[in-house]
Amino acid sequence: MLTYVIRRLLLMVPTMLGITAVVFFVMALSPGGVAGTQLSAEGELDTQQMAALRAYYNARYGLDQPLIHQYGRWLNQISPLGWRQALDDQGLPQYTGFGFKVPDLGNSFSRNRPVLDLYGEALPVTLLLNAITVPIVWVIAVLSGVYAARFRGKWFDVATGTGLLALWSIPVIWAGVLLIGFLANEQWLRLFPTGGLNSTMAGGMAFMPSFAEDGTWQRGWLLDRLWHLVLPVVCLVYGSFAVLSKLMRASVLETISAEYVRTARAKGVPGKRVLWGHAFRNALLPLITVAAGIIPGLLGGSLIVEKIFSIDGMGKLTLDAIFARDRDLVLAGALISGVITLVCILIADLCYAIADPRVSYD
Amino acid sequence: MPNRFGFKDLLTVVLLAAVLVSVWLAMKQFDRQWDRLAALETQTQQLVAEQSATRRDVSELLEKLETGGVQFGGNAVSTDAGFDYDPHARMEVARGAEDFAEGDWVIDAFGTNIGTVNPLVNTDLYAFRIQTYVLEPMVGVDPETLERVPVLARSWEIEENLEAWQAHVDAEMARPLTDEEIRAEPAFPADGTADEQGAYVAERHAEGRREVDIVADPDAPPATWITFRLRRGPVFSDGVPVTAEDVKFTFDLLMDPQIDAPSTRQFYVNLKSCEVIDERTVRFAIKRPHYEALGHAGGRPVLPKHFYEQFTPREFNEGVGLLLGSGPYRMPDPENWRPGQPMELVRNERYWGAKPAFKKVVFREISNDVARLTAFRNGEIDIFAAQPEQYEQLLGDEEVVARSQHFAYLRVPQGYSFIAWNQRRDGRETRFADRRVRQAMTFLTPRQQIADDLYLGYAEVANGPFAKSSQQFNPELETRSFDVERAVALLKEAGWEDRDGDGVLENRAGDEFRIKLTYPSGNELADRIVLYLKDAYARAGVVLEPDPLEFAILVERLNDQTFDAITLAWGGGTVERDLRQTFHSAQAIKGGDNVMSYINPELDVIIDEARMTLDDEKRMELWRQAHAIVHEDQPYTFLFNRKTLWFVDGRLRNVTPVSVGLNDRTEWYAPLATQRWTD
Amino acid sequence: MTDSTRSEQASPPSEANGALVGRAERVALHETMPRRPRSYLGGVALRTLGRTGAAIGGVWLGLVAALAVFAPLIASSFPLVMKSADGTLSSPWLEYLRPMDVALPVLVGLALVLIFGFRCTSVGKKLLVFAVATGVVVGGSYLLVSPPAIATYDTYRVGLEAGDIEWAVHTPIAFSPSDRLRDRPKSQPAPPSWTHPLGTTRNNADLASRMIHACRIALAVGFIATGIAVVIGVAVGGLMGYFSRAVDLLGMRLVEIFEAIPQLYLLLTFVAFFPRNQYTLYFIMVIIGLVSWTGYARFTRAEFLKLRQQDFVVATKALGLPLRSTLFKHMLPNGVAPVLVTASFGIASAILAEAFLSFIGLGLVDEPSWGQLLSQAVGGGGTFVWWIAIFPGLAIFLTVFAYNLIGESLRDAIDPHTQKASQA
Repeated sequence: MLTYVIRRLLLMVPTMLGITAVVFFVMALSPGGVAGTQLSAEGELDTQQMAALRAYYNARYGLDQPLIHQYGRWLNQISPLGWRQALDDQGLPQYTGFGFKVPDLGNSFSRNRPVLDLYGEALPVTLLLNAITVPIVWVIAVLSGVYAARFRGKWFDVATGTGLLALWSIPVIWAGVLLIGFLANEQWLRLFPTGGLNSTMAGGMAFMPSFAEDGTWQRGWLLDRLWHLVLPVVCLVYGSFAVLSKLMRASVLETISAEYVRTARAKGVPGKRVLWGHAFRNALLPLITVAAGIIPGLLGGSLIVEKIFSIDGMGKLTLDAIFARDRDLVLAGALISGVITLVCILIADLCYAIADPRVSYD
Repeated sequence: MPNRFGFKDLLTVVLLAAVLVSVWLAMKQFDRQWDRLAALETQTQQLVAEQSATRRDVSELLEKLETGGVQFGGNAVSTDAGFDYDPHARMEVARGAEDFAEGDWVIDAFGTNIGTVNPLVNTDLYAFRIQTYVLEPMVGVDPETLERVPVLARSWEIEENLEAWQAHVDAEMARPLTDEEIRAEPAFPADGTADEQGAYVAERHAEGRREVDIVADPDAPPATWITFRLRRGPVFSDGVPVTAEDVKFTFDLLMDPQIDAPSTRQFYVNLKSCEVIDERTVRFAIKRPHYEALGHAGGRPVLPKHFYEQFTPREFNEGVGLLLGSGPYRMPDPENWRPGQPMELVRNERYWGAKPAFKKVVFREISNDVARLTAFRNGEIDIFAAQPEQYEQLLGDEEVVARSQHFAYLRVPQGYSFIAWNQRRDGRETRFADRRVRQAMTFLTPRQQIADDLYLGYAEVANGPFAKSSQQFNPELETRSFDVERAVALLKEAGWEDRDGDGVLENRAGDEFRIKLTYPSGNELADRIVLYLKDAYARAGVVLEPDPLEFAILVERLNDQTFDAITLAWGGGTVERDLRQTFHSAQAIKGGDNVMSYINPELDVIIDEARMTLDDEKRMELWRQAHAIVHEDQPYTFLFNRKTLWFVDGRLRNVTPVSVGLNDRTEWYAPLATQRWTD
Repeated sequence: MTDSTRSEQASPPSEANGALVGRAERVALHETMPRRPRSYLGGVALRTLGRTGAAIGGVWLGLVAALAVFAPLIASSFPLVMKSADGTLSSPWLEYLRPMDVALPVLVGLALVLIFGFRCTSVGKKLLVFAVATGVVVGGSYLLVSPPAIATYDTYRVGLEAGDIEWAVHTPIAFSPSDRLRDRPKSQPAPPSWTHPLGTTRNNADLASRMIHACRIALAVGFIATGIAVVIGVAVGGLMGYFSRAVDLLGMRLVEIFEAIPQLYLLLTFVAFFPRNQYTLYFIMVIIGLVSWTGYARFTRAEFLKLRQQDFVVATKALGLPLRSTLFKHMLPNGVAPVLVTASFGIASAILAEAFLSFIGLGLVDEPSWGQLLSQAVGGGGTFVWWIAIFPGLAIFLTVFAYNLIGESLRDAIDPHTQKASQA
């Protein structure tokens, strides 16, 4: 098993090289290259200043050098083993020696900050969104799957089947616009905030709900955060459980027809106990194996949701980076989401092996 | 399984209770310490305030002694008569108001996250807005008269070295332009044959290029020296006095290539050197004569040397929270602020001038438009910069209007948007080289309708590069209104008519009148304006293809001058607008701002003359002449001057429009009865 | 949009495929017979259409297709027939018809005739005839039909009001998609009314008209993008499956690269970096195709890996048939069934992807698209316009739902497990 894991991890390296190469060359070959960070809303500019700025970036980041050189330079920068770099007194990078070094994801042109910091701030937000979404998706998917299997062919089964497919077909952009428009807008209901993760005043709130000295109720930071998360989480949840639910249904159907379940039934165990006590646990197994597999999909989904609800997570950061042509930020985004996806796939495969003794990777 | 309450359970309960009691006691203790701490803090603040008042008195006295402003037995001698400007006079007036009260906070909202407040390593306007509270320059701008006024500097002296400089430049320029130099210009056609105008353009370009090289030469004599004398009173918010060393340090840091400040640095390319004369005197050398030289040398906020020199360039570049200065507010922690933490400035109790009213200036980050509007409605933020749609929406809400004040004004210096018609492309004249065509395009642009429909009336149709309120503006020139018939007539005169009956105009050679209008993408309003133009131009048989481009690519097109027409906007710039940058033929070089290669020798002469004319009245007359030429030639179709729209909470007093917009927030206050926020 | 391909991987395909292989063998035997009563694919198609869900989906898609084909007949600013004040009769509508407006109905008519008219000829011949006819009709219409290059839409409205036109017969919706009612300037969009059944957009154009004309883009994006993805996927997958070993290893790395980045991310990177012009839409279609082929490759590879061991494939090799023949004539028809299912979901994903790109402002400026319309629902100032939010969104949803319903039914139809279940 260990050798298998190591082999898979090693195979990830060429894949990651490929991913970053694809993104890098698409970006580099597109007209405009890397710049365009000085954009203001009305398009004000001073061409001479732009030229000076571009000259600086060319000198500092080698943007005027051949593409393959630039890519090599970037690889060296993120690699833990390579040439160390230091700035000389002209502010230009010089290579000082070969050896192990701290991998560096580079600097964001548009925000003038280390890429690592930016993702460090954005990743927890996206993880929080997903951490809330995944359990909800699971509970709904498992319950609906089990009941659909139990009432197989009945109206409940047909209704959930079609209903889930319908939910799955609703474009997130539409759901987001409708939720904001009708539930969070001045013109209609003002039940929820339109975006963000906290109210303006949340910084000064107590953590838990409480009563102020004059007896007014304050919702507190925690409730405020949850209140802001309702709409985005709804958007992430509604389309995600269709697949899982279908899988659960199939799995339950399979176990119900298994010998041991029939034996239990024959022994006179009541239907409910058979379902929940015997069939359920075994039916859950294949679902666990795909648990890790749904995370990459959710990452993609949160990109749209974060954009619509202006939440500063990974998705929005990546989107901003792409629009600002922020080379290092875009490449780091590709790298990070690539690693997450590959690791999730690996975990899914490992879960499969652990859950099913017949599968062996050695 | 017996469900009895056993000894173990008892032990657990007792332990739990003990823990709870001790936690409660600890909290009590903590609260008492907190109270004590708060009391101590108030006391310290009072002490600091008293001390700074004393310091101010002493330094004022010293300063008067030095300048001879103090009267000893009737021997009054005043040397610096022109520099008795008090930068805090307006604040003192506000403090004198009947209902003036200290306290409360003012809360502003930003549309994006604040990524950095570092004074050099920043690229956004938001950081700049925060810094204006914390940092101070030597020379500021009076908000009403727009004149340069002393802030940290007490006085300055400008020494012109024009003769030596001009002699140097003339000597270098006297060498005649070689044929190669002219032919090397991109404006010169690649096949080696140029028409008369093409040759003229290439020559102007070569001239401009050489002049740039001469001035950039480090051995060239400076054109101007500016010597600043600093005030004695100002201290940074940690109590260290502001000295000439700090000014030089600021300059050196800015020019240090290891500091990631290219976008800030490029504004100061005209500064040659900075030297310390004595503790409170500093002298700048300026590369070329420039009417903004004083602003460049003195307008940069002064940074404390003792604070910033602790950091290596790398630490400085990455120090997003490094902000310390001598301004009326300060960061609670000048080193360790990180993005994502709340951005609150506290009042600088050591401030050397009159103190502002608000104890805190708070900046909230609300990136969602609607959420920001809601926050203003709820009274969670005090200032709201509105879009026309939002402004209308708020005006329609009686409750909001009743408890707030609103402002719509044209700021000075005024910016304008425009469409530039490219007259030369790949060394050849385009259809826009014909003045009649450009005039026709202006007649075809439904400017008033766009201003009414899309800006909801909060924009004025621009009729030239100058603000209507300025002396430069020529009031005799009539704004061309939307008139398809006149446009069609002009186009026909220029040889454009529909010759094959497909609805599109053709010239004699049979080329169709199709143009690509390039504009920055990602702006919904721009998209809508371009659709207006498309429909309007269609009425005269002109096909417009929208060409939204990302800014990076757009700049490339500007540099290569490979576009048909482009729509952009110029920002405010300076109060008196210099036309050289945009309309002088010398600027029609690659990378210059005359991107549409507009050449009018007559205008060149007037612009050059105006720049050298020191007499205000005569210069203004020349600008008005230049305006008339530009108006006739229409190198741009001038579009709009946009109004700035503000909503401000009603409890804030002394919010008044001044020439530059709204007055500084340090002059605002909230009367005691309506104050909203305390610690 | 990433979900659909993922779901295919997530569902355990093992048991279904076992039965599929058996079926494939039988089909292979049929291949050699001169005539057969009903092809395998034909049977699948019939079974699919027999289901309620798929039938409803089919009806909706038919409606969208009809709207797409006859869009100018439903919504146009130009009068079908009019009589001007001097007494002449004319048809501006006919005059302003674009080549595609003419070519599409002709082609659809031809297709219907081919499908229902000639029962005897084989499918291959019909396809060939249709392909040739498409070329001729499209080419011909571009040569023959030349509308004015420029249009001022309000001419006829203004003329009618001024009395220059005596009477005019209009299409049911009397507005072209790009008719921004410049003769009736307004700064706010108008709610649904009798003149504008679905209201107007922020740019003052008729929403219904824009939505109807956008049907073309929606359908085209789905088919072209998925078509490209299927071709690439089947080609790469087929090669990997047939040759296995080194080709397979390399190919799978390629598949992994494209799968490891969320599709949306890759799509944005490609689309956002290139300038927008009149070809943007085709560019978007191609790019959607380029980033979503991996699912098809995986399925084809799995099928081919199994098929290459089968007797009939070994036989083709033994007979010395060329590789091309083995791959395309014998293996492909037997390995393509799961690809069909995925393609149906793929079309849905492609439509969603295009809608999202247009929604965030990467689409066309003037051409109508559902996503672009939806993006106008919330304006710059945060004002929300319900009719712009509901109708275009509903159109996207129903179309995606229709494709998913059909995909679901297709999957059931080729899955023998459910077949038995439904019979039982």
